[in-house]
Amino acid sequence: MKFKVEAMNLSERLGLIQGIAERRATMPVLSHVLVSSSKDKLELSVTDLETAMSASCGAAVLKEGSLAIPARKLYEIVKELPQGEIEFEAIGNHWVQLRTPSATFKIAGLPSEDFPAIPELSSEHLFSVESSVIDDMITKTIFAVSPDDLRRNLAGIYFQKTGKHNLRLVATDGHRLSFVERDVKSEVKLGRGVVVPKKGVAELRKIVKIAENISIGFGKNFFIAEGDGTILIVRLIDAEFPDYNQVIPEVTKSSFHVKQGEFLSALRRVSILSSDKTKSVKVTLNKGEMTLVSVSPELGEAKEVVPIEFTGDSIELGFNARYLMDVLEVIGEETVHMGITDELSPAVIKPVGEQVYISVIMPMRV
Amino acid sequence: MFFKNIIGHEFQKKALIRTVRESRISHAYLFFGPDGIGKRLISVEFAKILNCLRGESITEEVSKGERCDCHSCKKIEKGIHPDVFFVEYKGIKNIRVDQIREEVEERLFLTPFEGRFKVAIVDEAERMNPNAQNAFLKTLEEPPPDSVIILISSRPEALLPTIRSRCQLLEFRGLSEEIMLKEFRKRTDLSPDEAWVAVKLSGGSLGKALGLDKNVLSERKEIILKLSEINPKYASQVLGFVESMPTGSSSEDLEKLMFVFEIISAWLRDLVLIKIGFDEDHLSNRDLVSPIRKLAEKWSVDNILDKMKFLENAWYAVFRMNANKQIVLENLVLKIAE
Repeated sequence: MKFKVEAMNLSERLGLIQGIAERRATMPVLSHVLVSSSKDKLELSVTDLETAMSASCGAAVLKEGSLAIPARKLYEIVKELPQGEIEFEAIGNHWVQLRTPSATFKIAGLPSEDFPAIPELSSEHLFSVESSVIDDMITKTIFAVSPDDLRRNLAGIYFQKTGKHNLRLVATDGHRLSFVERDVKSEVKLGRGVVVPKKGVAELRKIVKIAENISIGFGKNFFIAEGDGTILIVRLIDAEFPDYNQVIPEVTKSSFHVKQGEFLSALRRVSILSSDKTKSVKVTLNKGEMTLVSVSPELGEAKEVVPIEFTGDSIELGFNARYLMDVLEVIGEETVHMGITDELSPAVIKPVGEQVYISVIMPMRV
Repeated sequence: MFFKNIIGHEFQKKALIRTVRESRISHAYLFFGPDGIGKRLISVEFAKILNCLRGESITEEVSKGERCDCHSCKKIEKGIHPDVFFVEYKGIKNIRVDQIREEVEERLFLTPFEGRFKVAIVDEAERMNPNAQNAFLKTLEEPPPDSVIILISSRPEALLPTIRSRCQLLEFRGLSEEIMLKEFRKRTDLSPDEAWVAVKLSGGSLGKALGLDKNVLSERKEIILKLSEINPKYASQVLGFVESMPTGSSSEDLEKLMFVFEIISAWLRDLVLIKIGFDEDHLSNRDLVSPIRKLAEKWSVDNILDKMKFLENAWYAVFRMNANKQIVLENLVLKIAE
């Protein structure tokens, strides 16, 4: 392996992907970046066995080959090098030599065969999506992903095809559920629904930031996203997502509209005086107004009235304010529709308008 | 082509190959049997079969051909396959819940990375504390698809019955004495008599035979001869013998002392065998036939059995109850010389 590459170029690419390389040395090769040179470009890959990322950059390849090089060390060196060309050369025994006009580094690497085989997906399985669309869909669901270790099938976002061009994302932790559906313009190539782990989705947002349009696709065991030469591969969760449709109430007994901004800031203020653990806030609905109350014996009490359009019977429910705030923060619509049935049935929050976004929140007993 | 480097266990090898060939792979196995007989090696080979890139080779005769050199098999051999992972007791107290959660469950709940199956191998499974075992139950009962969990244990009775009942059991027996002797002599340069003692003392475990302390093994003859000749009336003889024993508290000394106990026990057994009329081939100490015969004439069977009982109690006192080794050994020598 021998090639010349622009320091800036390499450092930028490495910076993007090296975060995945594992620090814990469960398997030494996982802290390495696989560098392969072929034809006129360089392929860089890292993986922690849950997610894998690879990026390519142009290089003058003198001899093809590949080698696993400690990711962090390589990045730290390349980052500090002045602009200009670096020459890489494999010098035997899995060592690599880096040379600039003034400096030489020799780094001990590992054989490329030791590196886990990064799966590939042919381009026919990929479909393109606008970055802003997918980013928005993730923002609207990721907060509801279960942090619970024991319910692995909920530990990610469920991707589902609901129409030729329609992609639906669902996340739930058993107390709340978020559901968003968008027309992604191109044909959604996805068979059965799959659960993409939270960590992988978080990595996806990195790619979304660097490219305007990305291509995504689903293999048997993988989710793959590609944008601007960077490829992300995420292992799927090997479990069934529950039938979430059962949880979403079709009709609610009463409903009202409320201004998103007013509701959110009132909740923020009132919840300051609720206990940190439960964040419970009592919501009382009366004709034309909603009263938010939080009482906690050791902290104090708060009460605020928010005007709403409500004509039903008076009702009193308890909510975890955090759950309501999470939804209101991302809903992206000025007026919000909230549907309720009784103290124990799930409440539904939707934006008023075209967007397909539903959030279901279980009330709590107060 | 698989199992080539593993001696014996023909039935178990065939059974495992058959499950793969007939696609009746169980989601959980418990490999049990004495330590050091190749359970772990077999589990690694099984993982290779499950993930071999030349899948068709499974239908071939197992013994034929060279070892597979596909990427998957090579990686498993080196212990760097992303889908085959080991959970081991790391010399702390035992295998804890966190280890089971992090090292098994978190990895099993993702789809395979490059292989067909995710294989989790839990070595010394009885080291899992009760909490870890209980935490494991749910996964063990119904692991995610494409998962195979292999528990390895030399003391399956120490596992919860609920764990055992969730696994397909596969028992491994010790190797036969002929195979052991052949392999043992191939790998060491001991005399045939000494090799025989090592084989006899290790109960079918090649690993144990190879791990025996060579120094103590070479002193065996001397230890036995000395013991046979001690006169309990002379304190200096008794004390002298005990002094030559490794009575330190380091793990190395403990191991040596345990070995000495085993040597004494084998010698007493030889005496009993001679008394009740077995021929010399059955003895562990084939090179000490005449001194053993001489002693056998002096001692009655009941007397020897009594000594064996005493030896067993002494073993418990030293290795399980932390008694004073010096005193226990002196008592033991007095009893034996009686």
